[in-house]
Amino acid sequence: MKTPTYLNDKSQVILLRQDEVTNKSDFEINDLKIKFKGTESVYLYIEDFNKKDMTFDFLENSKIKLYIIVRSSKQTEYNFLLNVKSQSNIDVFTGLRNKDNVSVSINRTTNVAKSATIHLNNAIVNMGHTYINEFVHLNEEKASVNINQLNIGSYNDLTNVNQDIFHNAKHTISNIENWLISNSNSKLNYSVSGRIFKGNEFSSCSQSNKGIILKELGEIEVEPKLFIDEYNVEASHGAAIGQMDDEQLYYLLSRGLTELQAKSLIISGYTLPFINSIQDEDIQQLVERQIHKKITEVDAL
Amino acid sequence: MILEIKDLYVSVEDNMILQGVNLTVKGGETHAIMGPNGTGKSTLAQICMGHPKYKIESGDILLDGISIKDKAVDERSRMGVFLAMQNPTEVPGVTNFDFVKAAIQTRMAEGEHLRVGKFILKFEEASKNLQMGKGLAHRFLNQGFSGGEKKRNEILQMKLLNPKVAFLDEIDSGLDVDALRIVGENVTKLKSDDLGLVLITHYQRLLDHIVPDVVHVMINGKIVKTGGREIISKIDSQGYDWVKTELGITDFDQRKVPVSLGTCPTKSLK
Repeated sequence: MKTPTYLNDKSQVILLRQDEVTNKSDFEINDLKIKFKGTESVYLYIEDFNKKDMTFDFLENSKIKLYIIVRSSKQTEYNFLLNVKSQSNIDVFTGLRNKDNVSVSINRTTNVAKSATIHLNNAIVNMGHTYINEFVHLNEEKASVNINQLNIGSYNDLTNVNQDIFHNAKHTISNIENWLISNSNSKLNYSVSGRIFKGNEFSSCSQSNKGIILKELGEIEVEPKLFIDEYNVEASHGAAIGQMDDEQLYYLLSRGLTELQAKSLIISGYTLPFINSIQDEDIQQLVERQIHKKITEVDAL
Repeated sequence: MILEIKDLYVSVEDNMILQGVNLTVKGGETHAIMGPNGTGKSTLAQICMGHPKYKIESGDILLDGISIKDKAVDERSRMGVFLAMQNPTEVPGVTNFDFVKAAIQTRMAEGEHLRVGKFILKFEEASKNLQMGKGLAHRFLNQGFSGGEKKRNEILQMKLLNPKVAFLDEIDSGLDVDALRIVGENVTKLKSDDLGLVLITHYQRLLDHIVPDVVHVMINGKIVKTGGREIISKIDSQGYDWVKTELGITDFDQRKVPVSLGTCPTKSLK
């Protein structure tokens, strides 16, 4: 099987394809458990891998940027367990690239230890049915998580996402930002929960969900939920879902852009904060291409 | 170029705003439209651009003999209609440069390619002439712009898009004295036999910088008076009462709608 060209010049690459594990990185893999340490950018490419369970341990003080690309041509389900040890600062990008009429399920549980931070950037710009369960446990003081998720649906795509953050210690911080776009008949369903348990004061939990529905038959449903059992905390949540701003569209049309060009430009502006949060240029371009394809080639605007 | 507006009746949400407007603008001409608030000046500009909120009840708009009233907004723009808006919209995440570049590319023939280097120089020059400051190209469209910057950005787009007919809707609002002079100079430089200009304004100060050939007064959705520059100074000193008196307009329709001011809490004595 060919390695995708955008991975050719990367020094730390791990390929998991069908039954094969190809490790081109410095990190040890034992029974699909990978221990990351130090400061590195690592690329994990998973294509139709036949095993479901993987564990990633990020050791103390590590600063890892992990790019996970999941490509599927058949129904797949993966269970990821991420253990983020104390004082680490971890960036994990996850991009799905499955083909049409394929169902992909990702169950990910992340445990974050003392004074560690994890940034989870997820690009759900794939085709077909996608089911994601994202559980994050902030287990020790000053643990924090930032989730940025971009989800664009088209045709008859269906995405069901459950994001659940557990503040299990004091002084823990969580921040979720979801950018959602429903094109043609796609349906995006989100359940977003933040839980601060009793005694975990000085914690902060925020959620922001923004959605644009481009076609009448498209659907975005978001349930933002906060379960707070402690007084001395900060918490906020919200969901703003609607159609594209008519005045923005009119302004662009009034300069000669066609409706498709105008909508595409507005969407590229809308998704820009997410794109900018991806630090690898090749991966950035990969996601931009996916977005462009989703928005323009569908002929569904 | 010739723009002909013929007996145009326009409504918005069942309110008839324009009530039989007739106007002809030829290339090389600069027309000023003045009038009290709410008389339909901006409606005229917006309907020529094709804003979907406004509905043409009857009449027609012709550009070079071709009716544009059923054309889409983008099509009108590519045919040469331009509207410098009163409140330009902010579009986050879209840079000025990408936007103008896309707008120019839509005007190119199939197979024609934009020479980006040349375009950058042209953009930078237009930006410099309008004293927009460095980095304009990479700023998001109108986002975080001051009122004056937004208006100058409209003129910048106009310069780069080369329209046949341009409506400048209260382009002077939000501009300080220096910015007004800069805008005035830039618009005046654009005057040519290929461009018809329609200035919508309340004040003489804009017309000191962009001198009109014809001045129209609009009241109650109609152009009620047309003349030369002498009208401007008379309006500036006397308002519109003399026009109403001269033409016998007694009922100035401000489209007053009864509104509830709320109720006051009362205390009844028993």
